[in-house]
Amino acid sequence: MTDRMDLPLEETLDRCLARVLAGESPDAVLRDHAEMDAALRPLLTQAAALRAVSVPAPSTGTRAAAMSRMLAASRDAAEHYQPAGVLAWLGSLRARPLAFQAIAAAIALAVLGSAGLGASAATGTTPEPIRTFFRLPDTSDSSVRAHGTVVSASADALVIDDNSTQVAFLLDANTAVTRGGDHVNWSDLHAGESVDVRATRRANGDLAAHEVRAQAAPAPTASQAGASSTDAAPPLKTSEANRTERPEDGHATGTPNSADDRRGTPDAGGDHRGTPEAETPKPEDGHTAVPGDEHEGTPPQAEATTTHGGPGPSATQTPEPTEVPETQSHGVGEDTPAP
Amino acid sequence: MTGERSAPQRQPFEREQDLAAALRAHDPAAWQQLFREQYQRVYNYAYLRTSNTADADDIASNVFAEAARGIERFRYQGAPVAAWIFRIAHHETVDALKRRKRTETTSIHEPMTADTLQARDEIAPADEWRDVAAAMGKLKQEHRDVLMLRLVEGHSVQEVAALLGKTEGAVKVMQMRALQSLRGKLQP
Repeated sequence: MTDRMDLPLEETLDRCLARVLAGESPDAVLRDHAEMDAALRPLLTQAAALRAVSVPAPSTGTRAAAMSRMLAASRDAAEHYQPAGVLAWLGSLRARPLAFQAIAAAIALAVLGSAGLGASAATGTTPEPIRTFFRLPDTSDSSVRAHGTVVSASADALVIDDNSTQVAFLLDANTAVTRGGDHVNWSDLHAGESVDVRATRRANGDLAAHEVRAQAAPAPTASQAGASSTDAAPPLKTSEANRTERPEDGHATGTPNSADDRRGTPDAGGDHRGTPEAETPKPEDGHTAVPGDEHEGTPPQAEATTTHGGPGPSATQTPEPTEVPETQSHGVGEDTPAP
Repeated sequence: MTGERSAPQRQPFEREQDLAAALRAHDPAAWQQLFREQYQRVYNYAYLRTSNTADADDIASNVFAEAARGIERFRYQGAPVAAWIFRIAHHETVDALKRRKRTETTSIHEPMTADTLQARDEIAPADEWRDVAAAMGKLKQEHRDVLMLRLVEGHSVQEVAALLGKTEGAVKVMQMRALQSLRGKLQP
């Protein structure tokens, strides 16, 4: 029997099967196809027998368990499905606007950063935001000013207390120590005495003091340090907002620094050498240098400038402070422009 | 105790491509709709192939779990999702029959207990179906499938064609030859 010969029969059979499946009996259907009864009857009878086969229904519990398993598998697949390819991943970001914006911002930063690096390549410097963000070591010096009370002083190091944070400065032969405009010796500094220190932050983080200004009034001795804070001149208010980008006195050659670059503080990325562990004081935002910043107008007193031979040991070897008095807290920050 | 045979009404996802997309997105509503529409059919197919309700339960459950896990591989190209489900059901059924064959081979040495005999009696199909099932087991795979889908499940020729990936004309020829072959197997 070829397919061509089957074609009429199969078409007829299909129409008959449709009626049987609809519920008619084979006999009723075959009455309309008497000429093909011999060929159709055994097939329709067999089809009716198959149609009559009973199939047990699964229990409700089995059905519910199967659905739960399917939904759990769907959830699991949804959580673990990772579309292949970067494009698919980027496409999925459309459903997550925040992530998309974050990535866009990162790309923009990378582009701008590259541009900044390119521009800085000509000057040989690293852009400050990038250096600050990645905490890159500064390759240039910058001007730093601090105000605090003397904790200890020696020929090669001065430790001051700045708002409960001790900061060490290197002293050397070029460091000018003055009191009221008069040059004095480092040994004339007393614990608890209020001082204004101008220093240069070196590339390695050391703070090299080039000027130490003590207040004009005679400072108490170490044994009288407890009362020094009350006699101290008004503290210099430094501010991160007043950081200058100008080098001062030819000492500061660096670039402007961010708030995180407050050298000499414990959180300055290793720049608080020789200082004990202490909480970093928060800078007083928005403060501006008061007119007395530079101690101008202070009556000069005896000049006693002392120079010392050669740079001393690193500030990391800060001598043990003695007779540390209660001090006023002052700020440490970048120098402000000289008026 | 007769299983459902009529195709349920299409619910929220009317268009096949919408259902496929929602399934790929792991929309629970889509999966529930697919389950409601196809579970009984898959179960019936598995039962008619295995003549065992426990196997049919396992196969039907495995089919939908496997579908949920592998929906990312499904690409809608005009064929209904049910055809994809049917292929999974076919593979699961074949695997179940292979496992059963291995189990029966290994368990031939195990002592037959009264409990085992009772359990086998409980899951045994009715006598009327036992002979038909035996005869269908001797048919070609495509003949067996077309008879189950067309006559037992009650699918239209168009649906069977879509499920099996055949033309409607081919399905009509197949169902006629399958009936002729089955009749030849059942006659003494």
